[in-house]
Amino acid sequence: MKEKQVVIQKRIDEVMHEEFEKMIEESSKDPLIKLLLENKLGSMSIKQIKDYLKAGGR
Amino acid sequence: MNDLHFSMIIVSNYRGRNFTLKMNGRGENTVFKMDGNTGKTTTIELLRWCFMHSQSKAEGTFRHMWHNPAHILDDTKKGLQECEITIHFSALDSNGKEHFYQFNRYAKGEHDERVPRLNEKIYSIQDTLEIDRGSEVKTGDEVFNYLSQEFRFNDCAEYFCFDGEKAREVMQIASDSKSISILLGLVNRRATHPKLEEYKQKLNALRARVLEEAKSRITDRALERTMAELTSTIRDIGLAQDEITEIKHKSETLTLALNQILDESGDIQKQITATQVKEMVELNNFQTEQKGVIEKVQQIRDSIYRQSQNWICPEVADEIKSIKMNVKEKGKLPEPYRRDLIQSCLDHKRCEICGRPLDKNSEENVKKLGLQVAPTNVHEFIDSSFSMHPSFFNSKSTNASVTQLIEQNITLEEKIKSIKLSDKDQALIEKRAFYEKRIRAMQEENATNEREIADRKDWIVELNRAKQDLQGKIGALKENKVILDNIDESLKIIDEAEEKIKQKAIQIISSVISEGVSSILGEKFSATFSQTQGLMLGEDGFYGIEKGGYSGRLVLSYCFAEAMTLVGPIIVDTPAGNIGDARPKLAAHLVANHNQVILLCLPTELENFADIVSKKTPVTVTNKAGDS
Repeated sequence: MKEKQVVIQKRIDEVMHEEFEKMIEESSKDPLIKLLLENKLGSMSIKQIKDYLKAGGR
Repeated sequence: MNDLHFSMIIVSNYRGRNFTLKMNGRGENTVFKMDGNTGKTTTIELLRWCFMHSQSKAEGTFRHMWHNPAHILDDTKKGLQECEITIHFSALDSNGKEHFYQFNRYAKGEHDERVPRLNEKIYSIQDTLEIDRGSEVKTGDEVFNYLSQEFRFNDCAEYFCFDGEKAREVMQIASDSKSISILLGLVNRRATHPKLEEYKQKLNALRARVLEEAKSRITDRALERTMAELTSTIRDIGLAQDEITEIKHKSETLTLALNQILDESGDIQKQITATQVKEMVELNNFQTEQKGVIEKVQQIRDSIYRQSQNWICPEVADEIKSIKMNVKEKGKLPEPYRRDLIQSCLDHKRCEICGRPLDKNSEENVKKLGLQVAPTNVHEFIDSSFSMHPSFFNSKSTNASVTQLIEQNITLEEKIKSIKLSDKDQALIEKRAFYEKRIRAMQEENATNEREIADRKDWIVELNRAKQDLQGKIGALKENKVILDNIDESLKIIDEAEEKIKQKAIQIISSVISEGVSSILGEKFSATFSQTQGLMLGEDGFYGIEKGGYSGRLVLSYCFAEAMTLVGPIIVDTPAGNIGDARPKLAAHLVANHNQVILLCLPTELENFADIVSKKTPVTVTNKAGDS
């Protein structure tokens, strides 16, 4: 019985997750979003972030 | 946190009643067999109250059936009373470790006939959340914030705590074209990705770090003030955004209630129009005529106000010029309001003009200065030259038309008063008047909400302009300008992404709800959800608000609720009422869709339903004076 059912919440979450991943991929050129994705923003000093941005996100 | 599981709900002294619902263990569903008046609806409504309103906003927000707000204490007892709701649940972290939570809301107060509407005075409400049996304890609004962030209970409690009332509400919204915006609002809330919210918070935290760093290097007092103003401007932007969200939610509920009352009022009007009773026909005609007269008066008044500039005859232009000159020269018009100067005086407890320290009285006077000074635009008006356009406004003929219409209205009023109606017809007319009054009040409230949203949007634009301006003035920020500009850019990208996901969410939700409906009602049934037509049930590919009958639309409501919830469990009051032949399929659907199903069933609902949800014998809850 269980296999035949549509698990609504799970399906929505899956597709939304796919959309989110796509969006993230598109936005990863933005230097600050890139840092957010790499989870580095909190650990960097203001100076490091400034230098990173001035270097064009490299 | 994953795999949420509710284990116990204890209600103590709610309206003098006590009951405990103890659920089966993790991985199992629970069916409660509950007669009428044993706490089914109460449980759902108390859960919603606890999860949707923080401690500081809990007073006066409990809803019970059609009473909003509703009382929580025993209205037959005198003296101090205490009411308590305790909810035990657990969840697994990303490593699969189980964490235990005990939420408690404790309210103290007394029944008091003198308090309007509620007839009770609440002295205090306290929320507590014990995590892992007391290893961490949160209190006050911190509890709500924690639960909202970890479990998003605040966003979906109305749907995972589900009942017939909510189902009817969804059905009504779905079948009403005027309420599509409410449905879209709900979907938008569902589609708000928590990760994007987290990113926004992190970017705002970075902005705060940059400001803090600049602040620590500022020694100049004037710059300190500018910095304080910038921080408060950024905080005001956040507050204005939160207020817009809050007004929008308030507006959604109001629109729903307004549409309901418009329908009811429309039915009464139909009855009045259809009547053959001579007096009613006459009355109806007079009232329709009167309505037309009042509308005409209103139109003339509106046009008078629109042409207000033309009321002033060219002859008085010189008079106005001389008044302006007089005000400017002798009127001692105060200086423009200097918010930064006033704030600085208050911050330093010293007059920034003469250097004198401020005592308590002077401080109070400085606070009131904002009310006494003249805004800059008053100064601009006084300084500008006054010009007149030639006037075509004919006051005499306008006055004559209004007078004639008012006389017509008085005559009609007398005719209406002279008509004698039967008690039944009189009651119908009074009911219509009552509805019309409520509709007007609700429409005004809705218009106020719209105005408030527009005002706040304008305010945000102004604040953003001020923010840019202030940032430019602070030298210590200039060197980090590259970071601040990038933050604004990244936030913009995230907002756009959020919008795209919301658009996509509508398509996704439409197709998933449709599949859910087909699996319960059979292949010939489907559903569609769109921005233009809202939520509709379809039979053999034809969609409409009447398709599928009551049970079909009830199933559609279930599927919509499931699409809106963000947690695993579902707690349903009277789950199988009016569901007809679809009971076994609905039971199987609930089991497949939720990691925990808690059903609060009437004894008549158990057949073909309860044993599919849980093989264990339903737990009987009876209504005794004390514990059950």
